[in-house]
Amino acid sequence: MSSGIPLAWKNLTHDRRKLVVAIGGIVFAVMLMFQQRGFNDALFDSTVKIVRELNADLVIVNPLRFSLSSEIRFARSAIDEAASHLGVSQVKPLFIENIAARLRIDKHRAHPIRVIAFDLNNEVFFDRIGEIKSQLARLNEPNTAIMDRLSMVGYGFDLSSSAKFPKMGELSGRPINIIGTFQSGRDFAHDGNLIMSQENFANYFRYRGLDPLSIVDLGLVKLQKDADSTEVCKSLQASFGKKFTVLTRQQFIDKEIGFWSRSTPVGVIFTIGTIMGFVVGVIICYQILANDISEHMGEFATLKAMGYKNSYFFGLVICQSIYLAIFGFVPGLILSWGLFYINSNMTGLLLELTMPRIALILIATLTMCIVSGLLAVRKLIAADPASLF
Amino acid sequence: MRTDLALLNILSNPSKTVLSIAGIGIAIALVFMQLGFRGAVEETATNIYDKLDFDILIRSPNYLHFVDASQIDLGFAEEVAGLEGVESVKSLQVSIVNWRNPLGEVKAILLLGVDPKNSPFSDENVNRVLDQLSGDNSLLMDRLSNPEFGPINKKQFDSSDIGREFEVGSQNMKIVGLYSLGAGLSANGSAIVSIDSFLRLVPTSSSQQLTFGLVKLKSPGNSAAFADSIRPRFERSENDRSIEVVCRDEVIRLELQRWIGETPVGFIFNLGALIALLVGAAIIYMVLGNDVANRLNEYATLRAMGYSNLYLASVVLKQALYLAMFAFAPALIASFFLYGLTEYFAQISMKMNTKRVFWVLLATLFMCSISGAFALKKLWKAETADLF
Repeated sequence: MSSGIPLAWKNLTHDRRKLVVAIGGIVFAVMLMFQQRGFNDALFDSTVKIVRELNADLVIVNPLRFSLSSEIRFARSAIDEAASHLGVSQVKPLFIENIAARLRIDKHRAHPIRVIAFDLNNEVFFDRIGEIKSQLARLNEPNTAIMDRLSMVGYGFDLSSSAKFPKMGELSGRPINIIGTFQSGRDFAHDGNLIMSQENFANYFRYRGLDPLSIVDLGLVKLQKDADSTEVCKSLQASFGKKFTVLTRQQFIDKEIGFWSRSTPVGVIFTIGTIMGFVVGVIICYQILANDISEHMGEFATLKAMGYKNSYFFGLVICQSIYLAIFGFVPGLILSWGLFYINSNMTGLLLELTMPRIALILIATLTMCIVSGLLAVRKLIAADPASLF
Repeated sequence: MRTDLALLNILSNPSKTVLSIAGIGIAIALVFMQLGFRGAVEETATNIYDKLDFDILIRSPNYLHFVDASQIDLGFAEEVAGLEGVESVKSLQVSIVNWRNPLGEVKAILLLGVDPKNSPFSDENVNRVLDQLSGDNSLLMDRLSNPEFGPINKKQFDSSDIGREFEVGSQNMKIVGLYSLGAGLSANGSAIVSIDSFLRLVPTSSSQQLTFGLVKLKSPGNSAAFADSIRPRFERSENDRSIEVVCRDEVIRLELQRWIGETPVGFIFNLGALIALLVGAAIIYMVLGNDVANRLNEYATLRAMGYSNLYLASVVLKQALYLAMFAFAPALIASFFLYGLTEYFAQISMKMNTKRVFWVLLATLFMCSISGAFALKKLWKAETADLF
C-alpha cells in the first residue's frame, strides 16, 4: 500500500448506500454465529451457574455422583475429616433436593424444584450484590425460603420486581413461606431453585433419615490464605482414597459441563448452525468483493498496465476484507447484545457476552472475510491487462 | 411479453448467479436444520406415546410428564374398563430406576412394566419379543439406549448381550431380548419387564396402583367426545379430580407444550430459523440491488421506450422468485443429506415432513418478495432523463 492513496477504503466507502446493503448480509451472518454460540454456551453455563456462585476452593462429592442433578450423597463424617486437613480453613456442607421437593401453589400442579440448604452462619455463596445476605435473618424463621426469580413460570408464582412477598405455597406437602427472591437460573434438570436454612430443610425432607443433615450433597472447602488449591486437593484426595472425590471448583465445573455435553446433542446442534452461518458469511462477503472487482475491472486493468504488482492488489483486497469484517462485526455485535438481552428475559437462560466469546466470533468474522477475499482476488490476479480492453 | 427478461437477466452471468443461489440455498438449508432440530426434540418428547396403543389415557391429576407421572388406583382402571363403549384398559407402569453398568457406575434408566399377554404397545418389534419375558428376572433391553449402560461392543446393545445380567434397582436381572424404542428426553435408555418384576424393582410401587391406564374404545372415532362424557364421573370439582382422562391428541399436545412451550427449546430454534431467513433475505436484496444498479441504464431505456413501471417491477420481482426457486430445490436436497449426517453423527432423529417443506417454501417466497420489493426502490430512482 505504498501508493499513499487508501484505495481499499475509498473503494468501499464511495457508495455509502451500497456499502450499507452489503454490510447488512454480513451483520446477519455475524448475528447468526453469535446466536448459535450464545445459546450453546448458555445451555451449558446454566448447568453450572449455581456452582460458579459457590464460595469454595475445593468441592467434596460422592464418586458415584455423575452430575449435580443425580442425588447421590455422602456421609457427614467426610466433612469433619476434611476440616482438620492441612491447608483447610473451613468445610461447609451443602444439601440439595430436587425430585422429592415438589412445590405447589394454588391450583397449579406440584412441580419438582431444586432446594439448596446450608447453615446460615456459613457464607456459602459469593452473593456479590448481597441479595441473599440481606434475607438471611428472615430465613431463620421456620418454613421460609427464597425463590429464584428465573424459575419456570409454570410454578405459578409471580416473581417479577413488583411482586409482593411473602407468598404462601406448599413444599412436599407442607406449607412454605416464600419471603423473597434471588437470581440464578434454570437448566436441563431443574426448573427452579429455592434456598432455605438447613434447619428448615431437615424438617421438609425427613425421608433422608433419622438425622436428615447427616447425609450431605456437596462439601464446600475453603482453604487457608496461602494454601495452594491443587496441592491441598491432591493431598485431601489421597487421604480420602476412593471413598470420596475431591475436585477444585473449576474441575467440578468442567466435569459437570462434560457430563451434559456428552449426554445431550447440544454441542453438535449449535456447532452445525455456527458453521453454516460462517459459510453463508463467506459467500456473502465473496459476492461483495467479487462484485466490486468486476465493476472496476477496467480501472484495475489500467493499474496493472501501469505496473502495479500483484502483491498490491492482494493487499488491497485483504484490506477491504478486513474493513468489511469490522463494518459487519460491530453492528452485529451490538444487535446480538440486544438480542441476548431480550432472549434472556424470554427464556430465563442467562446469555452472556464475555470477552473470550466476542473475540472468538471476531476471529471467525475476520477469517470469514479474509477467506472470501482470497477467493475473490484470484480473478484479479489472473486478469491479463491487455485482454481487458 | 415473449422474452422472459427476468430469466435472461439471471442467466446472463452464470457464475455470479450460481454463487447467489448457493448463498440463498445455504440460508434455506439452515432454516431446515433449525426446524429439524426442533422437530427432533418434539419427536423425542412424544416418541413413547406414539408407540403406545390407546384412544384415551387415564392418569394421575398430578401428571407432569411421561416419567414424572404419579400413580392412580387400580380401582379406577377397573371402573373405566366396565364402562359402556370401552373395549379394554391395559396397564402400564413407568419409573426411573438405577442401573449398574459393568464399570460399577450407577445410571438412571426408564423402566416400563407391562403384562406380556396384554401388551399396550402398538409397535410390532416390541410386541414380538414380549413373550420372552418369562421367569422372575427376565428383562428386555432397548437397543437405542445410550452405551453408558454397558453393552458388550460398547456402542449398542445387540444379540451378544442376551443372557447378560445387570443390577437393576437392587436386583439382578437378565437380558432375554431386545427391542427398539428410544427413551425420549428424560432418560438415556429404557428396559421392559413384567408387572411382577416391576413391583419388585420399584419399592414405591404397589399392585393396587398403576401409572397409566391405556383405554381402547369400541368405536375409536369419537374418543374426544367419549372422554368428555366420562370425565365428570371422576371430578368432584374442577381442581379435585381422582384421575385425568385425556384423549390421544390432547396427550401429545400437552407433552409438546411441556417440552417445547415451557422450555427455551422452541424459542431457540424458531429464532435460529428466523435469523436464517433474514440472512437469505439479505442475500437476495444484495444480489437484486446490485443487478438493478448495474442495469439501471437498460431499465431507464425500457422506461423511455414506454414500458410501464409495473412491467419493470414485475421483472425484478420475478427475478427474486427465480432466485429463490432455483435455490429451494437444491437446498431441500442438501437438507435431506444434512439430516442424515446429523442422525448418524449426533444420534438425533431428524425427519423431514411435508408440513415443514410447505412452510419453509412459503417463508422463502415471502422473504424473496419482500427483498424484491425493497430492491425495487432503487429502480424508481431511475429518472429517465437523469441517467443520460
